[in-house]
Amino acid sequence: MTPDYDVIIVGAGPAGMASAITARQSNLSVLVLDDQPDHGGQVWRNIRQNQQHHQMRAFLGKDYWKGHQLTKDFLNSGSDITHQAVVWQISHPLSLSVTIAGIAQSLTARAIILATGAYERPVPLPGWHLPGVMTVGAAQTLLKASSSGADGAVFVGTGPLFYLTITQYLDAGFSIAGVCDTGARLNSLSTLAALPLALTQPNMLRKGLSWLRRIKAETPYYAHVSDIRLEGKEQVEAVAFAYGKGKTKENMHIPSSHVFLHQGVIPNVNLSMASGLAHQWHHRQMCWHPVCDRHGASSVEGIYIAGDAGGIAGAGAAVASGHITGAAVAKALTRATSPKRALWQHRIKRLHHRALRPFLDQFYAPLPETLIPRDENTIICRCEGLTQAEVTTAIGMGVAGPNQLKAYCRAGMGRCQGRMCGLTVQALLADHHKTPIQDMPYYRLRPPVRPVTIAELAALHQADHDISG
Amino acid sequence: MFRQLDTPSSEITIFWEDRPLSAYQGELVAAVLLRHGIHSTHHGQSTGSRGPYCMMGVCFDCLVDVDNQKAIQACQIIANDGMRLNRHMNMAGTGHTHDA
Repeated sequence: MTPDYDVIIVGAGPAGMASAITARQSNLSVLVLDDQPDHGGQVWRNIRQNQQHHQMRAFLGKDYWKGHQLTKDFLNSGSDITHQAVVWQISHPLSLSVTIAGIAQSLTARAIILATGAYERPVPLPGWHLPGVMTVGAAQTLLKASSSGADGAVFVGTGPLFYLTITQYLDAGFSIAGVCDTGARLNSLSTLAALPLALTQPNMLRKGLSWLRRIKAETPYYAHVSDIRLEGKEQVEAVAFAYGKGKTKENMHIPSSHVFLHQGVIPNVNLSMASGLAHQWHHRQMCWHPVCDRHGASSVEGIYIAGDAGGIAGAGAAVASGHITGAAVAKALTRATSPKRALWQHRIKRLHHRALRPFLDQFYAPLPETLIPRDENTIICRCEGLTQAEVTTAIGMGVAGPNQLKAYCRAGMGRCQGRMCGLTVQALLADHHKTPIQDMPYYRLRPPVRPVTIAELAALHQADHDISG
Repeated sequence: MFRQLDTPSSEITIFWEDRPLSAYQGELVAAVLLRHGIHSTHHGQSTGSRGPYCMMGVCFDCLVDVDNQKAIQACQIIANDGMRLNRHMNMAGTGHTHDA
């Protein structure tokens, strides 16, 4: 049977769009499935609409508007594009189950590219489950998708997205009640060792420094923040924390009904894990990466990974990686080689963007108290409402790994399927068993990776029956 | 409370627990709710009140009931004129909602 498409790409962010453009240059038929309302991914979210209000929304900044050219090329590439399409399964040989407008269907392809991007590392602090506590990325999404923001918010965290979003908030004219910086630690040898490579990217370093200088000047800024608690009953009412170093450490309490958290981003691996791809623990980024070669080919034939879904390197690297993977897929399917010059340009660009990463990963490493929560009332599994005490009690009953833990306390069995608790559960188990974190497995994920109703499954079965019968 | 910097498109009305809310064509439902000060969209017996957290479809905490559909992520859907929304109540005692 002829496959429905040569290439199906999951995700219309920087990597997904770039790989579609390159695959189309070799005349392959391309379908892009994206779960958001429009293309752009998280980084260039809503760029089509925002472009029409360009002047009023200048606060989104230069890097945001850079996405315009790629999205234009993507729309002109001749790819079929479907939005609000939820992919929940990949089967072998290559077919993919997707729900579009409430209707499930099965599609086949000669190659599948997963460009599922990244999401923010869960931040299990006391009170992080309270309404009014959101991620910094969520605050930025509201700026991009709805040009709305909240006055008097408190930002807690660290990392490039943290400083960028605060800068966008300032440019948009929102008042900020506090910036609690948990990062920027130049105190380890490995951070210093990564600095020379980072110095090859002086413009990016300068940009980071100018954000920080401005934030320090224009907001109530607290450095070296730790011991964070989000307080409130039905919703968040205040942030309590300590700041400063050693003997100069002081306690602070800021009332606010909006708190935005950020501790970096991690690859979105639920679909790649549930599809049986091999993954490995990445020490510096403290998360799982799918195993793939430099072209993005995964451990499963015909499935490729492009962009941040394969490891965090940012939007610029994701575009280059998308082009590289698109060319690799074209070569595998048509034996056609892309123009060498263009390919080398993408490879050099990717190297260039990756140069800063080892430094960023370590300079903005997550705060230890968010990796292994010490407060026993902290919610670990948001879906099931399980606290640290409940999870550690279950672990203490002799649970060896994350899958067994499900049977003891239901951690990871809710709708998010471990996206919000997986890394924390892995860290708590490794800590309890005194096992190196990379030796403690993650949840075994199975499709469907998004909740699917029985009616959808029944309709899918009926459709398959109709085709084969 | 979230406020909008400009008015991007024509105004529509959606309903939260029968209360009319002004929204804009194309706006995410979760964004509309937040602009009207509605932070808690979902209540579970084992989880208490929850609301939008990630705004990108990964946390499943912004669940709402939309017209006749239960447990829909408010950050993943666009507001339509006349849409009727209700707080999603999960009284099953676990995070798994037993949808009709």
